[in-house]
Amino acid sequence: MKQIDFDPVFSTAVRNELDARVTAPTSPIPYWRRHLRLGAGIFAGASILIGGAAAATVFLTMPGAQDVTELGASVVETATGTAAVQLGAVPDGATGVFVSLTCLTPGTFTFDDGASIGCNMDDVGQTIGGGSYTLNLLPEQQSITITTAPESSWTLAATYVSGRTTEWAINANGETYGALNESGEPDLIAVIATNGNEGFVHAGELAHANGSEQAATFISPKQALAWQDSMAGTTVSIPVYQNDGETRIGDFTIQY
Amino acid sequence: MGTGVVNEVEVWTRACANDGRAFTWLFDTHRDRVFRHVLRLVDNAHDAEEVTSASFLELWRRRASVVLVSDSVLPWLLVTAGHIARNVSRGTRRYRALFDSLPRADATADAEQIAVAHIEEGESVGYLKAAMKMLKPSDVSLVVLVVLEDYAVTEAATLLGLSDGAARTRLHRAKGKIRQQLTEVRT
Repeated sequence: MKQIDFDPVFSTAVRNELDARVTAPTSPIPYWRRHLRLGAGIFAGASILIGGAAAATVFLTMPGAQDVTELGASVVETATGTAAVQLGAVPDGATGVFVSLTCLTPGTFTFDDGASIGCNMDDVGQTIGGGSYTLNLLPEQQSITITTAPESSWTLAATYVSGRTTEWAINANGETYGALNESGEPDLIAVIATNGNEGFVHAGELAHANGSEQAATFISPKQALAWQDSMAGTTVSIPVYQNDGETRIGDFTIQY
Repeated sequence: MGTGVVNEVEVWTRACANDGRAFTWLFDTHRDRVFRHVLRLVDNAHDAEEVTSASFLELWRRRASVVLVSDSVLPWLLVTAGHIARNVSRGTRRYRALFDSLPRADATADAEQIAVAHIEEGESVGYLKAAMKMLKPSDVSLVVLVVLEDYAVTEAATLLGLSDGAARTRLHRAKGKIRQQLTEVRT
């Protein structure tokens, strides 16, 4: 009897695509919703989510964030449903694309790298998340695809940029502060508080609240699952400070 | 990936840290099991390949919420592939442009495979497919994991977010429904 095999050509192509998607440099995931929802993948997902949460806040001026130079004019395009925005030829020295998305209807809008933005009625017409976000450029990438429901409308502005990561700053107590970046985390990590204030959380308090501290002690997925079950539905708040790490200006909330 | 026993939890953790080789190891390791499973649920090999591929793309996209069972991503893949297979066009829509752009082996070979599949399948598998389609999605997942893939009820229950007792009850009922369906079509 002849066995049905997976088409080897198609399989190789899918495998290459998976490799490319996984290996692509992780872009910061925008912290649009002011709340962080951690799923079951706390082992792996937490640091990525938090990283994006913090890095995406006010990165133009934040120590440790990218210092970004725009290369050329913006492309602005409005569409309904899933569509690709063509960016044109990649200028020399471009390392990413600076994008800002405005939702024209409620819905969820997903970038090529899986980062997504959720818009409710209140967000419509506003450039959400307090700003924008830089997508790392894949080789030969000349378009950005926004995936969304057929009825959801959006406007995307995109500009090629070159970026370099700035140094963290140091406060009077000798603590580093700024955005999470590829070098790791500063003592005080930039976030947006639930009241909209931009400030910093202590790295240790964040690690405790988001489970990464606990995750480091788990020796089996069962332990991780048990811990997640115990946290399900709960909300953990930690204080947000000014860059002195002492003056409290709000709270940062993590929902499980 | 070296020799000896591979710790899949470790592989998964590395994959989540953007290690493409770790992720493709998961694809190489589990592709055929997922593909065989999907062949039981869809009508042709072409769809089964797309559903299988989509489940791995979803594994990456939804990595933050993937639950490992018995230290493996395979149960999650089987359940996800089962959901996608219930409505192939909807389940693979997100990846339609990608799949259409990827090369395939000779198309006639595919048609031949489909034809062979139908002969090979025979009546009993056809009846089983029909019976499975009568079940609720979560019950199909239970049957697949416990009856066809030999996972413990407790493990399947964890993945599907059911209590142990509820999973046992539903499994019992689902088996009853399948048995009844098979009896009806044969008499």
